[in-house]
Amino acid sequence: MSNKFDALVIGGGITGVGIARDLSMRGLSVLLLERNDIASGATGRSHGLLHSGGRYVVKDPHSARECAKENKVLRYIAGHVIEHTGGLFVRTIHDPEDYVEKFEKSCRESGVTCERLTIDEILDLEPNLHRDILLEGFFVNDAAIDPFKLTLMNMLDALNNGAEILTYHEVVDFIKRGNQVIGVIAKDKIKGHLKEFYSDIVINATGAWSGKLGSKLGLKIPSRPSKGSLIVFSRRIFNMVINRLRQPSDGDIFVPSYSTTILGTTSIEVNNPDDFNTLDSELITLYNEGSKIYPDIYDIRPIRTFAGPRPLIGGVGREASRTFTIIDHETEDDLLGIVTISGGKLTTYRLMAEKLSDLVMSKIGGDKNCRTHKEPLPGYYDPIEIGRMLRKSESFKSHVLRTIRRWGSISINRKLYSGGLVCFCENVSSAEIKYSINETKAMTIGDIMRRTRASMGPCQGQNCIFKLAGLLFDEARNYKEIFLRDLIDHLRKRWRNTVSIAMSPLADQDALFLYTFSYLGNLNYLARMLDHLEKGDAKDDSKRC
Amino acid sequence: MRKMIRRDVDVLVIGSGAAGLLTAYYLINRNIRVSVVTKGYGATAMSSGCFDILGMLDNKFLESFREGFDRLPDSHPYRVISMNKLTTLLNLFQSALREANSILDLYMGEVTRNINVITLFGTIKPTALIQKSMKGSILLPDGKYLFLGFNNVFDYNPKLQARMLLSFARIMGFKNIRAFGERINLGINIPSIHFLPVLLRRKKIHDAFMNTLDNLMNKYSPDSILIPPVFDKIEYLKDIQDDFPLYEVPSASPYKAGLRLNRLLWRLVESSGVPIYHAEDLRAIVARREISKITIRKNEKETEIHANIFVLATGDLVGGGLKIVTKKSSLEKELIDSVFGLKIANLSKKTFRDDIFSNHNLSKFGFKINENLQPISESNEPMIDNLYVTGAIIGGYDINEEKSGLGIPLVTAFRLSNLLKKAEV
Repeated sequence: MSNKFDALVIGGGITGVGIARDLSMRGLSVLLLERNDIASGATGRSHGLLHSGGRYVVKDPHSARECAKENKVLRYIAGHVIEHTGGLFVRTIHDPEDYVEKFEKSCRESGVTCERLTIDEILDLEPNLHRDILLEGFFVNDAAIDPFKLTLMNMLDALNNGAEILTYHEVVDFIKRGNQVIGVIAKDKIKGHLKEFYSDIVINATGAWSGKLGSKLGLKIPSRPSKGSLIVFSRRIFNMVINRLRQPSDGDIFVPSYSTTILGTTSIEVNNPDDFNTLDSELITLYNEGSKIYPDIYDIRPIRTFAGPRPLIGGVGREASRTFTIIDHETEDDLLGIVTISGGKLTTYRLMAEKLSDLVMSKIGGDKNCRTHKEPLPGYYDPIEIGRMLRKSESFKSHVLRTIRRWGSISINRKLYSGGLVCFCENVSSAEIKYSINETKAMTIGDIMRRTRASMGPCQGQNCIFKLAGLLFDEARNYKEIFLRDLIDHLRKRWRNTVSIAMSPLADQDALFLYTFSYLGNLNYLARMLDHLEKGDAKDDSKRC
Repeated sequence: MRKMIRRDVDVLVIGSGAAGLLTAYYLINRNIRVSVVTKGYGATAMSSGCFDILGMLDNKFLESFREGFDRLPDSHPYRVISMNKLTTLLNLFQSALREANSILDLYMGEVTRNINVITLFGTIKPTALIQKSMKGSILLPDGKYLFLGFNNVFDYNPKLQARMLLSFARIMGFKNIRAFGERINLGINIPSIHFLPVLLRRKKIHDAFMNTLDNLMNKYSPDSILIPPVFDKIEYLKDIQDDFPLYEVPSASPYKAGLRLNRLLWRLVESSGVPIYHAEDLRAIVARREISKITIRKNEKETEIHANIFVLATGDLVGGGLKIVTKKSSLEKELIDSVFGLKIANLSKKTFRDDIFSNHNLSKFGFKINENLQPISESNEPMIDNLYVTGAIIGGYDINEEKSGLGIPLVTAFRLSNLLKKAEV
């Protein structure tokens, strides 16, 4: 691999990967560097809501218009990673009356489709809503989108177009010549050594981390990350996206996601974008607000919580615009060879990539035509074909359908449904896991989890974490060196996300988890000894210095 | 609703795990009329089937429970029931084992000496008694182990197990251990290791298996070949063990070692004439700190069981004996027992630590007891006069830190039966 590229993208969230796809489709040689795994930052820690625009239509019509437009584009190019659920905006007895009129009017003006429904119609669609607290409601074009798969499919397409993507490579410094950035120094986090990469232009697509990265160059990027926490429930409460009909606020969206439902979000400004802890106060807010749409929420088993930083720029929290910003440091800071993009929504990632790629093209010259909205992503299939696809497969149809839901036509072409079942909760078989290791750069247990949903179901990996480590041990290069650390780190992460919400019967499951891994596996001894040894090593190193 | 059926016993044991069944077994041996009532089949079936007494303390391996006894807190059940005397506890354990001889025929090891065994993860864990079929999983300082796997079976990875064992042994200071992992092909694709016992009944596959074992012995000459406990009955494994050192490694559900123990206990208790009632729903009448009867319902049929003494052996959070209830609005949590709803503790945020490998209060949950094995309140008064507890529902010990798995049920069941005998219920 040469270390000289036309364009270098930093950040493997949906924005960065989308840019890599766009630029590589325009014929550039592109390198993408990501410090962890793709979609491991804000992208993978989002709701997975394909916005119709309805949520921002009153306060932020510009963003709403972008969402409405991109919603249609994504339904075409990424139809296979979207569950076309539709969405409802419902006014409950807790919500203001005057918002309704504004909502309808703004929807008309911004081109957001919305249709008023009667209470009976709403209850037909969503019987879990309560008649007593429901006042009125609208249908909108919201949908559930799998953020991991969206990023992954963009990555596969970028790879097909010749882009290079390196995960677990952290940019530690920039290489400058005069007032021009000409490359970066990155650390390979698995092997531990430094590498240099050169490029005509460097794109800072690190979202909430863009301020942190920019400070390495002395740039002042007004990035104001805001943390949003969410709760995952073990089953589908609703089959549609449910929004409260009011100004966007805490705990007012339910999104169905595969076999689970996600309730979110909160908004707290954080200094450190790596702060992924869910506070108790946030949980109380989410439950309180969630119970105003669905009063029985306390009786449903939560399976985990997670939090992610919104990549807001130029504003604070709920007040900040959800539209995106491109900073050309040539005009702003007189620094050549670097641009920054931040803000925006998952729904508008493609538009962001298009605008940024246009800017890059105007700087280094080349194909001006964006084609990302015309060519569907890998795995795309025509829904009409589903019967033929199922006939072609030689496994249980329900199982095949679940893999099609995850991988689209790739599932059929690569027979991802074959092999023994590994994750019983989400029906993931060994072929799917091997494919994700060998061809989609999965290097750790967490990477497999993001790609296949293995260990994301009701048991949260109790049954399959050890099996996944076994498969990685066979298939993944370099895993032999990191398997102990990875197993222990993964168990720690999984625990942190479930224990913050521990209540029966989740606490029973947590106790069983401890029993299996700490008591029987004696991994608590192993983890402490490893920590101890590593601390000792670090001390020895410092002595040597 | 049909007429209520009434039954009278001296002692009613609630719960059918190791604690409940052992309690019933010891009581019937003392000619006390006893019945068992249960909702399920006992969480012992999910365990590794090994009796651990006290394996570790302060992250260090112990040679024997005697070594750690003095360092246990005063509220630890071992100290409470033996009135802080090591010799008493030792006596209790030895008598308990002697009397349960027929159950423990399945087992090997001694209560006074811990052995280190290799687990399914390839890790090493101290324990006291293991099932005989696990003999080869005992860690020898210069042992040579072969983990056996099967082609296209992903329940575990023998190569990973071997690597894990080497790393773990090195950390513990054993440098001469050798370990290998090998996947074999039986000429047939099996989706999971649990199909192995069924397939081995076919002669062709059985012969292929024996041939492969022969080749592996020539290739590696290991001290033992290790597989997870997949055999429902161990008779079949015994046949193979005549020719090859094929042994099981301790591991929890869905593997079968714990199930084997639970079934054996169940059969033994039933054959000694103790009735075991299944209940879908269970209600207790408690008045003036005394339980008079328990009403159970199954298939729309209700039975009243009157007893003088009730023994709660329903287990911890895993077994379902304890549960956490959450108050709406503040999300405050409270720990109660799931049969009588007796409050055990208020849980604060601090109860739940963020690091899975830290010292968890979660695993210490349970009733505080007095030396008569009665659950006591904060003021050290028995909560209910005729209620006793055995097994994991007792709190104050940390199974994950101490590796004190089935030891507590064994010794508390025995101790209680002696106490009740003396009291002549």
